Amino acid sequence: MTLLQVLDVHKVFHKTHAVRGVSFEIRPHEIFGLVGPNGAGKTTTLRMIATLLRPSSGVIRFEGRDTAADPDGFRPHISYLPEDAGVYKNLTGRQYLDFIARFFADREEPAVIAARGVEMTGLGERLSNRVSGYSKGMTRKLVIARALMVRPQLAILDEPTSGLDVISAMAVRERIREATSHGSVLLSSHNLLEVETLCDRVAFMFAGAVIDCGTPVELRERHGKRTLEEVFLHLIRDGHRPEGR
Amino acid sequence: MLWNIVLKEVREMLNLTTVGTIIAVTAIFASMGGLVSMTKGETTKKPVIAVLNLEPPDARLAQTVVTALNASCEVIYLGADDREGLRRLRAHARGAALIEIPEGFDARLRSGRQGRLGVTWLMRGAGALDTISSAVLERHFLSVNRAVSRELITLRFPDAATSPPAARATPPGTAAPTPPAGGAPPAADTPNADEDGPRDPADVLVDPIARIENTFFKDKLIPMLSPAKISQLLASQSITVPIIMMIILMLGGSVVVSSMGLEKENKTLETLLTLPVSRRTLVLGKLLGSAIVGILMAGIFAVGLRFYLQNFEAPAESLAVLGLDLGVGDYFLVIVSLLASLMFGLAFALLLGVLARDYKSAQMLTYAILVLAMFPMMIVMLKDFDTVPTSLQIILFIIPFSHPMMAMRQLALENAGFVLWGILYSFLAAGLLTAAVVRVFRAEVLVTGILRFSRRPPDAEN
Repeated sequence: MTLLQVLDVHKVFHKTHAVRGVSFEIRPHEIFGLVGPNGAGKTTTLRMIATLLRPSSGVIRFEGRDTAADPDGFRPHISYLPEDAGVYKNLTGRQYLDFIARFFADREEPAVIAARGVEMTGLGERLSNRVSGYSKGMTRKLVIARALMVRPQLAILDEPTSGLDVISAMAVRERIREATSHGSVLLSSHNLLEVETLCDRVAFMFAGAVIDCGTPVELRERHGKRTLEEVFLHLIRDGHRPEGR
Repeated sequence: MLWNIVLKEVREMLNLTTVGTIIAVTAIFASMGGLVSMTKGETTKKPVIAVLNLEPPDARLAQTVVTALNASCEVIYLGADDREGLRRLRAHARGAALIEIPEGFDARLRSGRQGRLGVTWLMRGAGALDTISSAVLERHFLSVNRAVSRELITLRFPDAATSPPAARATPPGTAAPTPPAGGAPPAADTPNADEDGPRDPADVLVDPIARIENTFFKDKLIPMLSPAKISQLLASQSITVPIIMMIILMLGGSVVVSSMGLEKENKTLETLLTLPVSRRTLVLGKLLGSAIVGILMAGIFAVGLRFYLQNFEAPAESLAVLGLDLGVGDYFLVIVSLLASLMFGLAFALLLGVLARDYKSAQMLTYAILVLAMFPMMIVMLKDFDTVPTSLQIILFIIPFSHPMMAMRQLALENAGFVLWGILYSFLAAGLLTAAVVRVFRAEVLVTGILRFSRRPPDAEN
């Protein structure tokens, strides 16, 4: 049973071949991690899945249907959190959550969705303040709550805990785990410890390609390493580079 | 070190947007300069006139008028057939007026009364440049007046022509001069009196000619008014309306471009594009929201502008007297024309917004709208659509912003067909541009900022 299939996807920007034949699949109710160094093609892959970019070739299927063929039909099933997601600065935190919740009115009462978002943020009374006065951490909590409050079938989270302190990051990880009761999560992160503890399966990306994929246990055993960080270093340093790079 | 900083500053500030802005502003000034030189050219040309002389050839004062007009104007007809004079005048692109020297003109002057010249103006447009030839001709009437005045003085005071200047002065309190021997005697009934009341003979000597003016504005005959007066009465349609239209377009457009710039600067665009809402709804939502804000802002501005400009305008009743006022239906068409044009403007602004990297660059891009709105505004203020060259007519018609600016004057002249075609075209252009914007919103250029017209196969880069 597969929720999302990424099959031999390429992405070319003018003279840059950013993604080279990436393939993986995400199963229902699992947390799938996409890790790799800067410039590995993680964000481009996530953007293609989120329908912001069209693959130059290859196909992305959601529940068996090509997402590029009907992006409008696919978007209600996903929630995308960009790495540097911002918020409309003239709105209060609560108004922002209400604004987003109204897009999902055909699924659930917007007030119920927004109330869930309010609870997820943990910002309390500060939600009545304008976002322009929020710290980076507060803004991040707000946008994570925005992404998860709609209970998407597939949450696409790019570096969800970046900029958060340890306690807030732990709370966010808990929210991500809870999200699997309603759907799956695809997350990208540089924090391999976070990925190891959070993800059911992990794909390593390097130079635009997936160089290995499996559960954390499988990956550790396959490469004879104790942690995913060691596996990562081993893969990068020991020549597991995709062809042509 | 210094050059390191200088180079950094130059690289930061000299980008495509700033260069584009400079080019846009230059284009505005260049077009303004072009119009000013057009104006200069018009003022140096001799006005084209037809002269209808109903006096016999020996009428000396009538001949003085003809000679003075010949010296200052291009007379394309001189005769006694008014229809022929008017026909030739209409056929000439710069035909300005038919001047009629009526029967008895000479006798009236010789009898100490003001002579009357009939002036039938041909007013082809109500723009400032359209009335230039009539303004130039108005100036030449002063020379005609002076020539007739000089001739009258010679007739009445034959010695004055040869006496030194001091001797010519009439002592204060002297009675009316005795008519010269050669001059016609004053009329027996009411010497020195006119229909408007008695006139001092000295006044007649100084100001010997009265004009009775009628104007053909396009095909509409407006009695007892000169083009300058009509132009003044139509100031609200020629100046106020185009300015208000331009402000609405500018403010609305600026709101849209800024909104896109802010979406990019605040990093909210990617989230918005992945929400369950169609691109068409997204585009229409942005357009409608911006239209509301733009109209609201422009409305507030327009109220202030009206207070300022109403002092220069004629009251609506004056236009009603001329038959140039607008009815409810006309105003409805003007509003529809404005909405069609606004839709196009906002779609254009949204397209520009795609190119904006941030709020600052978005502000720069609004200059493109400024250029497109200012060009027709200046033309409409200076010339009527009918009086500009065909090439300019085509450009004016293509720019949808021109149509609401021209609508009021066209409707005043009962040319609703032109306005309706303009509305139809503007809606069509707005619809097509909106469809193009929806396509752009579906494309990835919004996220990547890279315009690609063909898809490159991935292997091409391997």
